[in-house]
Amino acid sequence: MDPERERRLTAIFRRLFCLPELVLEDALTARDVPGWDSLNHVTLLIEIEREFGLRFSSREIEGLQRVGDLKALVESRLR
Amino acid sequence: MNLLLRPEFWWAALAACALMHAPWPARPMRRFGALNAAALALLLGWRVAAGAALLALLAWGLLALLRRRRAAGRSPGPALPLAYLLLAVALFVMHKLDLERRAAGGSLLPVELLARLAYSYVFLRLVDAGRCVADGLRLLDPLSLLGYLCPFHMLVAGPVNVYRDHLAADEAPLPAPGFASVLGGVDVVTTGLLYKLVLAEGLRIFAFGLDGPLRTAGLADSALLFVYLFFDFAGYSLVALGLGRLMGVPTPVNFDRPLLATSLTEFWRRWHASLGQWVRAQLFLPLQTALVRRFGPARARPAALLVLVLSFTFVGLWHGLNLAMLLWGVALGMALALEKLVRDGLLRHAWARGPAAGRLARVLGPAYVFAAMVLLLHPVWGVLL
Repeated sequence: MDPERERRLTAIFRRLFCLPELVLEDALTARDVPGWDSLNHVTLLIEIEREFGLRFSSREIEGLQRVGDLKALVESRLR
Repeated sequence: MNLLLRPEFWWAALAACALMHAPWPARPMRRFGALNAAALALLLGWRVAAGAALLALLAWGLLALLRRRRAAGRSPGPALPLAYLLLAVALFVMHKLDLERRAAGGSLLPVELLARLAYSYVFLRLVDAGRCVADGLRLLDPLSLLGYLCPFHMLVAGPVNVYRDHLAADEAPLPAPGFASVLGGVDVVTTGLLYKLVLAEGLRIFAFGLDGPLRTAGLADSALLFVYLFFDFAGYSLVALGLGRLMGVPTPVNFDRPLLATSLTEFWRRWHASLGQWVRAQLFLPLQTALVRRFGPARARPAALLVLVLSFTFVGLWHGLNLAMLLWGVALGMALALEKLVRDGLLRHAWARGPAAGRLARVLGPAYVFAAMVLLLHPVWGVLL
């Protein structure tokens, strides 16, 4: 992922989940991040939508559970 | 009579397992649709099977019209989706009200068919299929759709299968059965039978008598009932799962060691997991997304908690269309919302994210969940069975 975009994405995760040291590795899933549950999932994705000026479909919101997939989706939409 | 104790059920299952893997030219899920229609006729009688076929045909007709309008580049408008949803909901309300009347003594509505088809599950499948087709996924042919909506091996207690999985299984060749996969399927079926016929029934007879009603008078009874419900429901689900694997028909895992859950939230991800996934996909995420988009991430937390309570209110009403189940669903939703607030508060502290807290949660969590579920089955709610 583009380093600047990755920095912005990481900032959202760190702020939302109160994890200032979090590193966004591709293999990271919702289970690995304390607080990334179904209630915070939508907030996370809408914060990302607003940050990057995107709009995810309901299927995308439902299916995204892995950081690598999230990065790939953001990249593909911004390309 | 318990379906699992009827020889016809097992003859139908054996025949379906063998014939699904026979060299037929038809697509896998059309093959299952045909075998399933025959199994429904054998198990429930030709009138119920014909009623199920009519329901599938009606649903297919409405969805085909919706797709045709889309393909012609026209907006489907609200009428068709609304008609489809109204049909599904009206039948659901009729089915649930009829069950209430039966419990009070005597069925007044001629909807025996819906009860015999376990329409509560069919309703969830109709909604899932409708949404998938509205999202642009392929519409199954009527026979395959009947196999998705009313699969005979999920008649007793679900689980809620997923349209997308059924479609994927229809588009790929059926994997040839090997020794390990057959043995694995048989192992799951026999484990389910052990759960249901030995553990659940043994506990029921011990705690409530041979023909006694499942009524609870206090916490000890509620605890026994909770354990009974687990073995009963998980047993049925395992039989369906094993048969699904043997036939090559997508059948979701419904119980993932729920008694080891460390929180109520986790418990509902593991107990009747297919219903939880349906509620998450069809209600929770769409409603929460709409609210957070409308009011902004700053109000995400109250929106999430409100939608959580609404979702569990639906879960309560899905189990029974009465005031007791409504209150039960609201109480459960509020308990989960409270747990969420406490958990988020704790997670702000570094110690709560450490390994020691994780170990403590693994020890104390299941006891907390067990106690909470026993309280939710307490006779004070008046929700039982």
